[in-house]
Amino acid sequence: MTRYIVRRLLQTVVTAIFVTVIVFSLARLTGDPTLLILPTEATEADRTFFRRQLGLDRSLPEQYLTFLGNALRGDLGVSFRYREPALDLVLSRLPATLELAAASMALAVIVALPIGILAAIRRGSYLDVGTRWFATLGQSTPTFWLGLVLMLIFAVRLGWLPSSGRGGIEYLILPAVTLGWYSAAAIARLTRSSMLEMMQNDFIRFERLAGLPERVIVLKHALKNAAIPIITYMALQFGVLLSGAVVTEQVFAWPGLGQVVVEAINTRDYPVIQAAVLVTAFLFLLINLAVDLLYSWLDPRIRY
Amino acid sequence: MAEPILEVQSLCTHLPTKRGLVRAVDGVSFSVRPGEIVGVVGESGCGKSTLCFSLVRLLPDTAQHSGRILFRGEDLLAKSREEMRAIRGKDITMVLQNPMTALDPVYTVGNQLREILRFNADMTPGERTRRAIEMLRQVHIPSPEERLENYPHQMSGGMKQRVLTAMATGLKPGLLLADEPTTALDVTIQEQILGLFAEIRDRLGTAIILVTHDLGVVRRLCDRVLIMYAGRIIETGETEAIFQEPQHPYTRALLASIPKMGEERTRLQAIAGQIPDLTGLPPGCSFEPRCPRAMEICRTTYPPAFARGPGREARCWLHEEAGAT
Repeated sequence: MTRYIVRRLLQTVVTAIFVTVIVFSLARLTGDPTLLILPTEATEADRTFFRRQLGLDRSLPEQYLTFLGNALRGDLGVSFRYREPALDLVLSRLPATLELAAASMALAVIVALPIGILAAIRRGSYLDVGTRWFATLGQSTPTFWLGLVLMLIFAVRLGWLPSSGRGGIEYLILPAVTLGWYSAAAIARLTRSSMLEMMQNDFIRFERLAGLPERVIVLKHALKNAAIPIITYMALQFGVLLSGAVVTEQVFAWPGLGQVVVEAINTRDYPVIQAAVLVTAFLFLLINLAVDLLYSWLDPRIRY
Repeated sequence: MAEPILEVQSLCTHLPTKRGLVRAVDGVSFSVRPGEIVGVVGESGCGKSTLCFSLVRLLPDTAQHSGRILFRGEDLLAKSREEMRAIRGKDITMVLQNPMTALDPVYTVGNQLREILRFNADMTPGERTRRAIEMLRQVHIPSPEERLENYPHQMSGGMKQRVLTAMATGLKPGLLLADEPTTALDVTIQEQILGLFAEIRDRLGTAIILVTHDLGVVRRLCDRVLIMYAGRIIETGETEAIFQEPQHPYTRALLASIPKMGEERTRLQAIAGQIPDLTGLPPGCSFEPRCPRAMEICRTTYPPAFARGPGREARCWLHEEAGAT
């Protein structure tokens, strides 16, 4: 087990290095940062001086190696714009995004699991048809549109909830529903199909023959057997939530990582872009590692 | 003679499908006495399994039943869902064909044994554990205390079938349904499991309905045999009588298809043709298209059951002169 964790952590580092290559290159495709950071009337000499200061005059491989070397020591550079360590900037915004993503995930699971299970055991019922509609609609609704519609109804027309910003739980509801909507639909759909598949098993039949109540058969036996695909999918959805947060945070002016990323891309603030993407990627990798470790608890046939 | 524990009267189980109504069980009547082992024999698709699942009412809600299933004098077809659940697992139990997939892979054997006790008997957790160990010991599983902690994948097929048998017989049921219980096992293991069934019958007085297509198993274990063809019972009788003097051409053909030791090796005697489609049975005898001795009447009229000696019946026009029962 320990050996497995160590091996997986090493793999995580390797994956993270690949991520740095991609994010480093992509950031540099956004263009020359000095065009945005310096005023338009700045002279070419000013720009050259600035580029040298930021280390942008050196060759790309050279820049990358410096970046990587620093990154391995936990130094992700200084924001061009704010003159603050990029990592600090990202980490200060991370809790807001995590809060939003966690709330969305919680909401998605609370909604999706029960309706997925019910749809499976009442296959062909109105509830099942409704669930399939929800799954299709939910997965095809654009996030920004849903966010605006919810805002229009619940904040503007009804005035029940605040339309933007971060504060108490009332501020969290609309963004969390917006962001979690897609995942709820996706998880409901997968829960339904996994449960349907599990209910076909011989052991389910045997348990009925053995006089176990249907409630126990569904919730204790079928659900635990169906849990591996569902939880794997939930972990993948967490990645969707982190990236989806970028849009949702814009719509609801939620002061999270997504806002920082968008702003950093708009201003070509390379270190901040790099730090934000790296931190997100790391989070995603860690969650997937945790899920892999969870497998052996869910299914005793899986051993590391 | 003891009162029958199970008496099935004109049971029909019809299953609506997209292709039409499947008459999987079509007017079946028989009875089983306590401690009796009754074999139900027939080809795949003849309705044997559907018959078993009808008896415990575990077919899809769309299944249509008629007739009566009297268990200890009470009609199971009139029972509510919850009443049936209480009967299953305690008074009527069942073992399935494939022991490899009949246990939940993610819980220990002990957990699953205790769970059955929890929902079918009134016991404290401590009593359940003691009883679970006792149940495993009864089916000759060595070091049962340790086995409780095993997961199904840590056991062999024969061991799992023993565990399932323990689960099915631990609460001393009146009737055990065994649906092809040895088909998926090695021959040596089959022998052990059959021995276990005989022992359970002797010790607990449990009646057993043994569904199989293996005539060797029937001869070894069953007191009486029901031969099923296309959803109907076409011949019944004591096991030896059936083997010595089969009365129905189908039974004769079934027996002829068993290769015998010491006999000159010839081609296996297969029965020509296939079992008919259960959605559209012919008006006459359903075996008529494959029957070597078919007559004109067989094509038009389904034969009633003709008595062929004590406890023996055959549905075949060849026995018409003996008179219908």
